[in-house]
This record gives sequence, C-alpha cells and structure tokens, in this order.
Amino acid sequence: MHLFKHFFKLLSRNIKGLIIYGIITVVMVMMLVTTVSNSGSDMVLTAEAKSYNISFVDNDNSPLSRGLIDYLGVNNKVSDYSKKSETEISNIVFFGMTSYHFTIPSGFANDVVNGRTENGIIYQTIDGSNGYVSFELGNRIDSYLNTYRNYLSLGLSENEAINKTKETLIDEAPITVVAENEEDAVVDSREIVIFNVNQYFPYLILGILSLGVGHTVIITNKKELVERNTVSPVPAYMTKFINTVGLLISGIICWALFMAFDFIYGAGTEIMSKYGWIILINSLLSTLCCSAIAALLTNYIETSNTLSMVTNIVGLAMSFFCGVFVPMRFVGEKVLSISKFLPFYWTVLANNMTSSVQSKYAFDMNQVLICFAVELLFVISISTIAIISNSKRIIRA
Amino acid sequence: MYKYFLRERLRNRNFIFWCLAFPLALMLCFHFVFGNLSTSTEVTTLNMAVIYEGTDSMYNRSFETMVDGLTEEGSNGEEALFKLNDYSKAEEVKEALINNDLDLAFKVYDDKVEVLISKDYSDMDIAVGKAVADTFMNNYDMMATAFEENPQKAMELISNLGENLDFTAAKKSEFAEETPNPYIWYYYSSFVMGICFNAMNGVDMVANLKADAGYHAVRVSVSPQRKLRLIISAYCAYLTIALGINVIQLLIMKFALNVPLGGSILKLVAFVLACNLFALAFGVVCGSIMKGTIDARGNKITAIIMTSVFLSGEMVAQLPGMLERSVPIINDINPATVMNMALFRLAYSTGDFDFYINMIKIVLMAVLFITISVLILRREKYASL
Repeated sequence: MHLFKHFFKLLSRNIKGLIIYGIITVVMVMMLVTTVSNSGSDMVLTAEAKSYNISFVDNDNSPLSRGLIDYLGVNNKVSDYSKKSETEISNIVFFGMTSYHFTIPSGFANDVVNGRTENGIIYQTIDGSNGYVSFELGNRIDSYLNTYRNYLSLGLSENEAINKTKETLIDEAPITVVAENEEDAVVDSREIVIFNVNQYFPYLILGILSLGVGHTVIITNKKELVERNTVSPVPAYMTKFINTVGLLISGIICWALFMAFDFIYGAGTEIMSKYGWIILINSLLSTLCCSAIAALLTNYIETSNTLSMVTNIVGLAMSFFCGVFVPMRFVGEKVLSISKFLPFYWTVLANNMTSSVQSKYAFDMNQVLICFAVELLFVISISTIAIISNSKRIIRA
Repeated sequence: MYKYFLRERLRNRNFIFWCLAFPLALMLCFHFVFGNLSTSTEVTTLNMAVIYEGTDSMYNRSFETMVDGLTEEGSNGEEALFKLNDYSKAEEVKEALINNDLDLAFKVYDDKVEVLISKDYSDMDIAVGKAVADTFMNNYDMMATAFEENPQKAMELISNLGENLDFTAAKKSEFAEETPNPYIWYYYSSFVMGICFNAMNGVDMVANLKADAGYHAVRVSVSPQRKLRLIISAYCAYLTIALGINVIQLLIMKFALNVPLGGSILKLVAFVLACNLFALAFGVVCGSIMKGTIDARGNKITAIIMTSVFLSGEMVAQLPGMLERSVPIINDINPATVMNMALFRLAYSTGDFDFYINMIKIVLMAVLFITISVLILRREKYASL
C-alpha cells in the first residue's frame, strides 16, 4: 500500500503531462461540439438538413440581387464579405469556411432582364466548377434568375416577379434516406459528437497513459530510486507490479470519465441507448490495451524525451493507419490490410458499427464480437510481453 | 567554434528527431491516408428508378417526359445524367436502394416529387436528385400559374423553359491548378512545424553562450574568442544543420510524396533560410528572457511553438480559415501561419504578390529577433562566473 500511495504521490508531482492531454481532450471535445452546433451544415445530419455556408459581394445592390441573396438565405447561412479583400476571400474559400462565394457585378439586374450572360455572377468554391456545390448552388441561382425572367415575360412587374419567384422556388422536393431501419437514416447532432469522441478515444487514452502517467513510471525506474527500493524489504517485482497497477487504475479512471461524458451528454440518443454497452466494452478493452502498450514502452524506455518520441510516433501512426483521424472507408485497402495487425483497427471498426449513418459500416453483431475477441487477444499478448520483459529486467538487476 | 557547434548539434538525438524524423513521419502518415482521398466530385451517370403513385395524371406524364430527356446522351456525346431502371413495385425500388443497386429514385405523387436516396448516398446524388425534382416542381407550378393568369403567354413560356440561361461562371483560378488539394496544407504545416522546432536550437544556443544559463557557456565565455564571432559561428552551425534537414525533407516531399513546391528554387531557398533564421533567433530571445532551467525554458518555448503550429492548422486544417473569417489579425501575426501561407502561395499561386507579402513579414520578424538576440548575447556582463 505504501508503494501504491507513493505512485500516486509521484503522479501528482508530475501532473504536467496529464494536464496537457486533459487540455487536448477538452479542446477536441469543445471544438467538436461547437463545429456540430454551429455547422451550416456541411456536416450532414440528415439529407434534408443539408445547407451551405455561402458568402457574397453584391456590387449591383438591386431588388433582384437582394432578392436572390434573400432566397439563398432561406436554407443556408449567408454572409456579406464586401469588406474583405480578395486574398482573405480566397483563403476563406480554400479552408472551406465558405462553400460557395459569389460576386454580383454592377448592372447585373439589367443584364438578366435582357438575357445577357457575359457579365454574370462569378463564383469560387473549394471543389471546383465540376463539384456538387457548384452544381447545386449554380442550379439554384440559375433557376431563380430564369424563373424571374419567365414571370417578367408573363407581364408581372419587377417586384411582383421577385416575390412570385421566391414563392415558387421555396417549395422544395423532400428527400428521404431509405434504410432497413428507419432510425438508421437519421442522426442527432449529439450522436456525431459521441461517435467522434469514441473514435478519438484510443489516441487520447494512449497519450494520457503513456505520456501523462508513463513519466511517473519512468521516474520510479531511475537508478537512485531502484537502488533505494532494492535495499528495502519490498520484493523487486512489487515496484514493477505497483507501477502496472497504477497505470491500469489511471486508465480505468480516465475511461470512467469518458464514459460519464458519453452517457450524460448522449443521454436519450439512439447511439447510447442502443449501442451504449458496445461503446462501454469496446472502450474498456481499448483502455486495457493502451495500458499494456504504455507498460511495455515504459519497461524499455529510460528517459522522458525518448518516451515522448516513441509514444507520438506509435500513437499517431496507429491513429492514421487505423482510421481514427480519417474515416476508415477513406483509408486505402492496402493500408487497412496492414492495420489489421494493430489494436486500434479493431477498436475503430467496432465503434464504426455503432453509427452506420456516419461511418457507412453496417452493424453486425458477429463482427463486433470478433473485434472484442481480437482486442482481448492484443491485451493478453502485449501484457504477456510486458510481464516477460519486466521479469527479465528484474533478474538482470 | 563552427565545427564544435556543428558536432554538438549532430549528436543531439532529440533535435534530429523533432526537426527531421517527426515531420517526415507525419507526412508519411498523411500520404498513406490522404493519398486515397479524392477531391474530384464530377457528375457521372446515376442509376435511377421512378415510382409513380396514384392515377395516370398530367403531372406524372410530364415528369416521365422530362426523365426520358435526361436518360438520353447529349448531342455532343455527353454522358446521360441518369440510367433508368425498371421496377414494377415500390418495395423493389426500396430494396434496390438498400442494396445500393440504385443511387437514387423519384417518387411522384399528389403533384409532388420526393427524392429517395440510399443510406450510402454521396453529396452529388442529393445535389442532382434535388436539382431535377425542384426544377420540375417549380416549372410545373409556374406553368399552372401562367395558364391561370395569362393563358396566351403560357405557350410562349413553354418554349422559353427549354432555353434556360446560365448566369454563373467560375472565377478564373489564381492557382496553377483549378482547385488546390485542401489536404496539401497538412504537409506544409508539418514542414513548417519542423522549422519552428528550430527555436529549441535557439534555447540550446543560449545554454552554450550565455554564462548564467549553463556550464558550457561559462567555459565558452572565458575563452579568448570574440563574443560576436562565437555568436556568428553558432548561428552558422545551427543554420547549416537546419538547412540540411530541410533539403532532405523537401526532396522527400517533392519526389516521394509528390507535394507541389512551386517552380522557383531561388524563392524556396530564400523562404527556408528566412524561416530558419527567424525560428533560431526567436528561440534565442525567448531562451534569454525566460527564467528557470534550460529544460524549463525549452518546455515553455515548445508550448508557444505548439500553440502557433496548432493555430496554423496542423491538427485542424480549417482553423486558419475560421480565424480568417472572424479574427484575421491572428493569422497575420502568427508566425507558423505566415510561413505556411508563404509556402502555399509559392507552390500554388500564379502571381507572386501574396508570397512576397508573407516573406516580408518573415524577414522583418527574423531581422528583429536576430538583432535582439545578438544584443542580448553580446552585451551581457557578469559580476562573477
């Protein structure tokens, strides 16, 4: 018990690593929540809710141009960038902050009435002139202007034509996602946050355990401390054992905090009520696996700098290859066939099946059980290697 | 002294890892993952079916006529927008959508068109389906209004509907490619992060030259060498290694990872030189001003660098865009963003203006920090050593 208390005393004195990863976690979650709630949304919640961030510069400022902007603002978030420079606009478009930027030239309303298209609206998008944003919004703008012209040709006045055009175009075709289960076709914005937090979980927990708690283990491996422990009446294996238990308990505390967030924030959502138990087991296995990896690394590594280097490389490489940072469906077949030999792959695959709308991986109970089994095998095998290497070092000492 | 500093640096494993290996490892990860992502979303022929519900109305027949037009190839040999699939029952269409045999379907009922899409829909499926359904519904609505309000003009309107004018045109791209790959930012950001880590070298330079910061510096300070010569030697040695590392990284980026770096080697060299000088001088100034052990000062500078790199979009590439929209001043003064932007403009822009604007900022910052660093290191006097 004395050693056990000592471990956590040391941990509290070297809390910096834990605080850094704590901040990273909180920032990530807050950014996710903010992005999802503020999204215009290029992040599709349901097919019907699809809308875009649109920006414009109106050099015409005619009833027609104002009517067009008003119409586009019905389902989209529209911003006036007339005070921004060309370079600023170009940067904002490149970073995807506006899906479609358009400039209405001066004298545009007259040109539309006369059917002149040379001096038309100039747009910029991130996906180019052949992308779906250009297609959809270009089509909406053209529909608006052509409908307006048609109403003018029917003898309506300018204002009447503008109002009638908006009235006509406001009636849009409904979109339905066809799925086996109706609930599979809809996703709550909180589910997006929960799903993504669980997706990042293996990366974060490995960082917390290896860089946050691992430094404490390394300190107890210091020559002076080892020599002091050697002359004490405590068996040599006990210090190592306590370190491992300390890592494990720290991991379980972090896991409990993550799960508390999932269950409180995601209360009542489909993902938590239907697949909560899968998330619980999957993340617990992932925690055990990351504890084993951290124990293995801290066995061999003697300095904090080296631990930082190795953990960063191992954590980032596994996260990139196994679909933590980029959805698994976008990762190449060859990369995925290699990542099957890494524990994060199975954690991410099981998590993917908890929200098939977001991940495009259909739920399959057998597949989930296989994921759990493989994760458990990783836990056992990595722990075994860690224990063997540990005992060898004790014998050598 | 140049040789001494050179050897001392090359033996520092930490420095080699964070400046050379870590950015390269990140770039390799990006290459394996983003290499598979396509940014192209061109319209291709979509597999489609139509479900007609209710009686054989005018509305249904009009929709059928329009769909027929969209399943034919264009006169210039353009691909048809849709390939129409025949299903006798609505359940069969839904089954086909669930099994991904169809991209989308239209359900026509009660003077309304509904777009049905499969769960694995693409954004283009929605865009095309919605555009077709909306256009039909709106045109039909307009025709109905025309026949009600002005039947004489209605026939004229029918002929007008066929000649929809296109009032939008894409802006002529200021970039060499029409749409720069947004994932390219991650490569530039990693490269710039490696350069920024040179600030750690600046802290080590302080440990080697400022007598109250380390025992190495005490030895160097009491040597008969002139202080300015020591500082210049240290700068040159640290810069030599940093440039060597950058050359390796740039070669790998260019030839192994296919990252565009622009056509001008001279500008690239000027960019790399200015950035490294800035990072080094920044490290020296911060290392001299900050209190604590050299490790503690290093940790504080790492925190500053990581914040700067984070804001420049290393982890979330959209972050500089969010800042540009709401607080553009942060992008203007954040060194990592300025460097990223200069490299991006160098690689992609057809004009040089934005590249030079960013380069001027980097050079000004570099000159300012070098001057301060030399003044601090050279003028320091000690009561005892």
